[in-house]
Amino acid sequence: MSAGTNTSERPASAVEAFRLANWEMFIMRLGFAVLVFIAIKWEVASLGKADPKKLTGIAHLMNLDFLRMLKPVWPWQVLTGAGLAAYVMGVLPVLGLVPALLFSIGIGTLANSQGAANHSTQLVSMILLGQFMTYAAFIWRGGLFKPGEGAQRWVIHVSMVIFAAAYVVSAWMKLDNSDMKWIQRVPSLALELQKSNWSEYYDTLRPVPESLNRVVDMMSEHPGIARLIFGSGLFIELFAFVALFGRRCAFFTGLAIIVLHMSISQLMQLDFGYHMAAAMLFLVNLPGIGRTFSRRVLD
Amino acid sequence: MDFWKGIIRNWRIVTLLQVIAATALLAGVGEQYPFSNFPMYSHLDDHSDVLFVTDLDDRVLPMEELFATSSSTQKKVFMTELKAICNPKKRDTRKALPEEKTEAGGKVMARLLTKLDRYAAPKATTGLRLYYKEFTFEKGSIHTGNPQKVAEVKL
Repeated sequence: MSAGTNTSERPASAVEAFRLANWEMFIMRLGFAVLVFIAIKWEVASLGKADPKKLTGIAHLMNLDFLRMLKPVWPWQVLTGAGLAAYVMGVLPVLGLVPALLFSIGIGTLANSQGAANHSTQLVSMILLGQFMTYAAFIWRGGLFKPGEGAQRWVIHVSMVIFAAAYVVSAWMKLDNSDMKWIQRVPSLALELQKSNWSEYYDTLRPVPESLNRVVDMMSEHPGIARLIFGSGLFIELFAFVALFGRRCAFFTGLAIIVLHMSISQLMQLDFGYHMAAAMLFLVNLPGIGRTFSRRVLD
Repeated sequence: MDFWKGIIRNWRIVTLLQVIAATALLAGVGEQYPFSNFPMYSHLDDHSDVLFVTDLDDRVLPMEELFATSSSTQKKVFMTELKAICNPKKRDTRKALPEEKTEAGGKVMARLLTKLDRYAAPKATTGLRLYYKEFTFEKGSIHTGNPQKVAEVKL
């Protein structure tokens, strides 16, 4: 179904329901390309060798220590940037995404194979992998050189499915690992607030915010309010799949996720920049807000 | 049969099934980069901890500036080392002996030293100490334990 199709027809899939215009998908690809490039930890020299006892992902299959020796880095950055530029233009995206995919997953895997899992870049790398696989699936439909509008819509749809699943699985882990008692245990989250704020202090020597004590006290004195506030965060994560039920659902779910991350960032001094950027690109879709709230759009 | 046809024709249900399938994949694969089940803050218990570095006069030094890494990352590395020491003895890390924490801390410090930016430390710094500090949640309030020195090196 093209962007100008009769709106009285019921969509047959989420891909059709969103009716993303070519220019919207172009902006999404442009934003995501920038996000991917920034999220790659190009400072490879600061990484240690992979610890053989703590390997993750493809590090089980191959030694990734050679990535630490990428000197100079700029030729690889130029190659990655050129590939991403082709992807943004919608030309040869399968080949264009290969350098970004290799560095995003390769360097991310090496960084996570040193005994400490960091969760800031997985979402971006997973979406990148999902997009690459979707483009690859369309090669057999003649989409190698310049995939059509349908292929590009599927790429965005797959990105959104991965995005939503990342939040749903996070909520599920909270429920599963706590024997479904996560909300009851929320007051002890005050400990995590304490820890993350002190960790930030030990990283930078910036004083722990005064507000921390107030929040920690509030959580101790009013556990019911704490459960309500943090429980709503769990609710947003668990129902993130609603974002795929239409453009307006995506918009509001994206906003809720961004507000959730901003609140946690304030409380715990944690950085969710990549997650918020992905939510802004694929869910909130600010450039397409006119189409999102247009009566012509089925939702 | 009509029921299943109805399900398949309902695009929202199909979309939900796609998300469920992706969720199941992430939950099943677990922590294998780039895949993750994002387990942060899923284990809420009454204990938490931090790791930090000081000079030999116990003045706290900024870990990011000195080592281009974070306290939380190095605490995870410390806990991984501590588990490797305690788990074969069928003992939880919370019951780790001081000498076991020192052994784990020594390994962390050895790796940290390879990343040390000597110019980021104050000139008078003659050595580094690594401390481990625990927080506990008891009867609705937080108790901060005394920092335990787990490594010390002279520069």
